[in-house]
Amino acid sequence: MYIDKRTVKKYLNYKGLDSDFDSLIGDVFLEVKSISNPKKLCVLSDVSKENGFYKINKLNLLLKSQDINNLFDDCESIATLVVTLGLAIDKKIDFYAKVDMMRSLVMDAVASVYAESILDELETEITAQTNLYKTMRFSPGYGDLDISLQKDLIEAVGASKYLGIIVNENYLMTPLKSITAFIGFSSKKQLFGSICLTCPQKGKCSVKCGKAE
Amino acid sequence: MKELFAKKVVVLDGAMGTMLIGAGLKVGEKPEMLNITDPQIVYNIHKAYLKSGADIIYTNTFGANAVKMKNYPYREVIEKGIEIAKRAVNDFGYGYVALDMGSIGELLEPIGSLTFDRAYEIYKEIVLIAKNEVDLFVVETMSDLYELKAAVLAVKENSDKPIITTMSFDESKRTFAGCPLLAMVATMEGLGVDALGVNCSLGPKQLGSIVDELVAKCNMPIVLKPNAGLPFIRNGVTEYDVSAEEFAQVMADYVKRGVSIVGGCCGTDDKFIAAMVDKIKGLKPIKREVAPVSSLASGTRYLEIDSPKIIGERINPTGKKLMKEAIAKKDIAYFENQAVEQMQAGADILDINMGIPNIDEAEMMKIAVKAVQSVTDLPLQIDSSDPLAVETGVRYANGKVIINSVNGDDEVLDNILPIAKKYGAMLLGLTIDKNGVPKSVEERVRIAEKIINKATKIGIKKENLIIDCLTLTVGGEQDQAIKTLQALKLIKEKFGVKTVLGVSNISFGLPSRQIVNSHFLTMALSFGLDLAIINPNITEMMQSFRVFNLISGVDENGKDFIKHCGVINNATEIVGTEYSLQDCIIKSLKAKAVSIVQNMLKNQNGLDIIEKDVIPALDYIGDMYEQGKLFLPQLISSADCAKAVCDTIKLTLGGSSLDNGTKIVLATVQGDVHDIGKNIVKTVLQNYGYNIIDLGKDVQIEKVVQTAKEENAKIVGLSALMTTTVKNMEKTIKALKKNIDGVIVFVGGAVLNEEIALQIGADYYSKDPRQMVKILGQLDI
Repeated sequence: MYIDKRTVKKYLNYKGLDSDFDSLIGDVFLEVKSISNPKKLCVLSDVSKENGFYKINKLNLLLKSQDINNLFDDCESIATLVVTLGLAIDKKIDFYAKVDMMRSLVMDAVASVYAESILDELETEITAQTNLYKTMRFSPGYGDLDISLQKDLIEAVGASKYLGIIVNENYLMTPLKSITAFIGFSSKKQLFGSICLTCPQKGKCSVKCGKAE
Repeated sequence: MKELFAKKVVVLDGAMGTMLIGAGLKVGEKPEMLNITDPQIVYNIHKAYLKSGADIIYTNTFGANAVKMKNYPYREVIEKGIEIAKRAVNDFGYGYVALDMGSIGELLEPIGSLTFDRAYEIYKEIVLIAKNEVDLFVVETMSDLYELKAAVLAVKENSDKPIITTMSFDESKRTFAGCPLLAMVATMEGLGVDALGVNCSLGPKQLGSIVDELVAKCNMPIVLKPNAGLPFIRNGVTEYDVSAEEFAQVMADYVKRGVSIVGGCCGTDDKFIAAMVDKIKGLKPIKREVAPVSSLASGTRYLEIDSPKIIGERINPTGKKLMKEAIAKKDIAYFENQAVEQMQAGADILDINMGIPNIDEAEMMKIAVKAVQSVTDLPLQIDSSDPLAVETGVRYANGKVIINSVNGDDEVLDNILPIAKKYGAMLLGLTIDKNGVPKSVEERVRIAEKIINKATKIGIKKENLIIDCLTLTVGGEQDQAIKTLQALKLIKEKFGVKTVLGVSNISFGLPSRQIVNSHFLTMALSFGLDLAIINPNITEMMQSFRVFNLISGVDENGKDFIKHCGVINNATEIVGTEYSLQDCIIKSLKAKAVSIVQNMLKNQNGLDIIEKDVIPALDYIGDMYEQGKLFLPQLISSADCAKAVCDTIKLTLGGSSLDNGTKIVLATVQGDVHDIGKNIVKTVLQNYGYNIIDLGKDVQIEKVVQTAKEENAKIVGLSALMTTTVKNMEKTIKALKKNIDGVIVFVGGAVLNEEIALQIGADYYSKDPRQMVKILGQLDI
């Protein structure tokens, strides 16, 4: 597997062209891969509408979000995806923060990109299974979808039992390198919008829109 | 219960959750609440399991604790849960009730912020409710060994009921938290649980190699309560891929291999239990011969002392000025550095000794144990002559440790043996008593025998004993060196215990100490030494050790030797004339920078170097960063390099006199667990000479206030990444302002900006460490 070094650098806000830095990223990635224990889980469910919002039937989860209504408009099913790299990565990033800050910093970014790549794989798998048109990924905390849904989501899919994820009272997950996301599926092709259109950080975000410098 | 475990293959119940879902429990509802809202459902499930042949049923209280059910009446849930189970057993006429406990639902230190003491209290509360009502306690589906230890102590210290513990493992034979199977076995056996094993995790078929390992290494009754295969979701319902028949067949096979307590976890129901009872009919618990094993463990590491091992001796103030200062100042970072250095040099075990006069040694031991555990996962050796410090160290250490030490003196033995027994620690005994160090081999053997007899009498196993025949200085008493080695060999052969020596004392008062020490180490190893207490940072010592392992065949194919001694780089780095110290820092050439500064220190004052070279280099980097010509990684990499330079200078100044006198408390606020930004700020500020007190992440409001007050720090830096935790930042600022006159609060983090910072009452917002350095420079402090 290969690591997207460009995204790693984007997260680190690094714009140099230093081959040493590239090899550091490569080296850190090898370490990340060797100590992480990636686990993933996906539930594909039919949906219904309750009080004007989508409900994921199998998980008994209500997505109280106008953004979801807009983005997932007309979707027939929703996949709930969860991935994690495991606790060892968190420990290692903490460890390096004490002995080699640079490596800690790079590892944090590399691990994020790695976790996203695992999520990409899972998305590809589930998309292939459904053979339907899909929306972009949407996670608790995006747009107007309250982040408090994180707790219910993790509980509903059994991610604490199967993946070892714990959500704290401020809805942050540990292991830190864990991601949750929803994807809507529809048999009708349509122009699903982008979260960035409604994002409060629109125009200010260097990560997604690349506008703020 | 012990008799029951010895007499028959004991049957546990199957899943509670699966049966509840079968009875209509919706996803997302708290299953434990049914104890109150619909007790009949729970009762029926218990009854079904009893009817299917279960000897022991688990109460429906898995998640009922002060954290997981904070907003529910969890005490009532527990009381009712017990009541229902007891009623089911009474009505059925047979059975035992186990109070079921799971994990708390929050991560323990060091990775999380729940303290060991708090975890203990949470379990204790449950134990006190249940102790007179149930037949035994069960702690199951655990992932973190430290949390499990807290639970076991809570049960054993607050009730006299038996306890069964099980953890969940994946294919790698580790839990989610990284605990290896045998680390669990070593630690739980030591703590004296009544039975231990595995639950949930995988299906029965996938547990074969786990069962093999348990059967080979575990001396206690083995528990197996697997899922009904691997989970998959069909039509919205989680299902498992093994039928009741298959399950029963595999479980019966495991019973024949030595498992003696069996049940089912997720996906199993009363049909599984009934099928299993049918299949194991007539089977008795197998009498197993388990070879004695000397083992140690930490939360994520298991260590068998089956070949020579190194105990790092550096976290000990004896003869070490900087360590003494660090203990007096509670300089946690210093302990952490010493731990990491020794680990990287090849230590297998780390000794911790906090013995300096006029301190609370037990409290210091607790601090040091936690600090060391936060950076390494090497097993520990708790080293103190104060029984309270010993017990504190052993209690807060995760895993199974060594106690250093007892000797032939009865008073010492009476004080320390019970601690070693209670926590299941290995115990180091010195062959010395009130009459001093014996001069003959026989005398040493006699004292060793006394220690071994007394220890085994109270139930400490021989494989947990280590004898130290004492290294005397060969310069002072030349004839004693060989007697020490002869006694070592004899004691090992005669009693079958492990042996240890503090090596470096041999050369005291002699020239060329390293040569004497490293050769003595080799000799001692050939006499059968198991554990060498040395400074692993000294290359020659580790070379002797590795060569011994190579020649004696311990190091198979010389892998370890080649890895560490394959390329010995004796050539000192040539200092290029083309780079100045400033250039090196700017270009982050760490090794070069250190060697340049070492040369400069020969004729320049360290503080001058910092002022004239280090700070200007950092300023230059900071300016370039500000102008967008350099980026964060370079900033940090230069800061790392400057730190190495400052550390080198520090050594010549003796102590941390590089401070500019300004203390800054840094913390990631309560509830937030992202501290990379705060760590970056810390690295840079330290280079500028600020004395940083880093409280870590998820820091309680009171702790920030209390530390700032105690340390008399006027500047506090707070970090938060998430919108959800900005409110805690605001609360922290309010509490600081209320309690400390003139406190200046900096804030930073992804969700903040100038405007929000002002809204929540901060004095300054800094978007990066560079900005904070600049503002600090302008402040009149």
